[in-house]
Amino acid sequence: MDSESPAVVDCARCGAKLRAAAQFCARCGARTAPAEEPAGTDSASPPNQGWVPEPVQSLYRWDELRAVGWLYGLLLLTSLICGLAYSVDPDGDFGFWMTLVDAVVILSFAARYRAETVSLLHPSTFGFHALKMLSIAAAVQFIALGAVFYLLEKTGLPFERITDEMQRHDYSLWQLLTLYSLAPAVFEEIAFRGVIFGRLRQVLGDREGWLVQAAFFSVLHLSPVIFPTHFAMGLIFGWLRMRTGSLLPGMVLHAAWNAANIVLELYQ
Amino acid sequence: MRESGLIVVACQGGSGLSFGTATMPRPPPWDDNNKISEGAPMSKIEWRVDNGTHIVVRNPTFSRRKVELNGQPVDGEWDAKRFDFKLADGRAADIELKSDGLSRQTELRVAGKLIPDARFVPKDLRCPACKAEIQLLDEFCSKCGHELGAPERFVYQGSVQGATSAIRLLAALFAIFGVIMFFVMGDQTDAALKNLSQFEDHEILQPIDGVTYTAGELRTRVVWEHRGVLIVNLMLSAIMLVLAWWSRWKALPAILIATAIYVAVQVVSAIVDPQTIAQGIIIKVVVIAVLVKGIKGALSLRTENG
Repeated sequence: MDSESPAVVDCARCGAKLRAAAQFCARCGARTAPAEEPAGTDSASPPNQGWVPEPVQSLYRWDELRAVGWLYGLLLLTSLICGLAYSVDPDGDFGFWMTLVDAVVILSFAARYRAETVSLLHPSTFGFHALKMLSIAAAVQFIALGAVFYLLEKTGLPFERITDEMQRHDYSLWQLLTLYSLAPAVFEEIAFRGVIFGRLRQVLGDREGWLVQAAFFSVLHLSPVIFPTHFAMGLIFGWLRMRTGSLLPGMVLHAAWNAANIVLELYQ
Repeated sequence: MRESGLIVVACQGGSGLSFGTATMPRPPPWDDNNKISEGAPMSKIEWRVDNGTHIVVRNPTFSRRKVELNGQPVDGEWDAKRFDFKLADGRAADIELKSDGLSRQTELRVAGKLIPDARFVPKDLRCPACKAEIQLLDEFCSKCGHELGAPERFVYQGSVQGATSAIRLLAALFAIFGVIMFFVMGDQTDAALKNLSQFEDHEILQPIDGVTYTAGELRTRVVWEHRGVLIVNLMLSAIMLVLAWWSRWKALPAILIATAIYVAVQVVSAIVDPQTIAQGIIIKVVVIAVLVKGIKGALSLRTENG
């Protein structure tokens, strides 16, 4: 009689046939033989023993990504339509209408996730801690990114000037600040740090969601030269959102940055 | 300095630095050392379920579809594009023909599990942790207990690999396009600078798109427009290469960002030159489809791995 040949046995947990010399069940992962482990370790409770795979929720996660795709796509579409309109009529005033359409799109997405958005916009989230974080972020943004833009301008790289819009359409300073400082700050923060980051962090987690929302933010500005700087801005605004649990500090910093650029252009 | 308003910058796309419209062919299926890189012809699809189970569906042009198990024809009837049968060890199996508007698929399920066909599965299956031999249906390595996942992971891995190849190709195309356009635009730039040479730097020129420039400012813009094509395309190429490299560890965020960039590039190209909207539209759709399939595959792999 051949006592050396392994006997075919079933897994004690799932009942699957075990292979010869198998240490683990290939179907459920339960250990079949005692592990050769150093003394002191608990060989009676192997890593996979008792572990049952949870049902996957990829459909739910796909829905989250689809919402991000729709918002990103609609914002791109309004940019495309506005850009095409400018190429047809360079003197046309499409900035206001584009802001309006973007606002409607973003607010409709915010309404879909209203519980989340309202909690991020609640005034109680903007306390002393948020103020402290805002100060740190503002210092980094104005010093580091200000220096980068200063160096870029020194190379002679021509940037589009916001104040050219004043020249084209006879905007007052207040109109300019509302349209190019306040409105982008409010709506972009709701879109990127609110809706998009909220969805992405559920799929990717905090760190990867933070990186991806910053990338989307920079890409949607549709100017490759400023991808890196706007990616950094997206990271700073996202950091504020994570640290404070509020969109308000990001809105303040965003609006301040835009306003500072407009004022600087006027004084240059 | 530059403000960060989406609205402002997007509207300025028409006068900003331009970049090229990249077109590319569909990437080949997953190609690894031990992978089959040639796709199986549509008339024959095969599955290696395990060492003792090899299933083939033959679909000859002028005769009936046949199912073979280990080289022997299987008795049975096709019922509404579905063929039910049993394997030698008694496990229930079925083959189903599925189609939608874009593609046709032939799916094999054994004991309820979707089995990827031989195009997606390496011939020599090994545990990624201990390199022991494993079977396609194993969800855990029988030697080290490493969790392997469901067999359909090979389909998802193929989608991710396809998207990564697409990103690499885009990187190459951006670089090539940038260099070519830099040299092509050289003559135009020289001609523009020659025209501007009759003006002094401080002279104010006729308004362009409602904005007034001095000759010096316009000269700077012309020079940077030329350099910009090269810089922007090389920058995009570098970003795509970094994303392709990153996708080895973090496929989902890398493919998401690459897709966002690719779509944005198409939008900017359309704003700069509306004719590019129609140019290579099918290839653009295919590229986006490959990237979206990669996102879905990466999402499924991530979900499977918790």
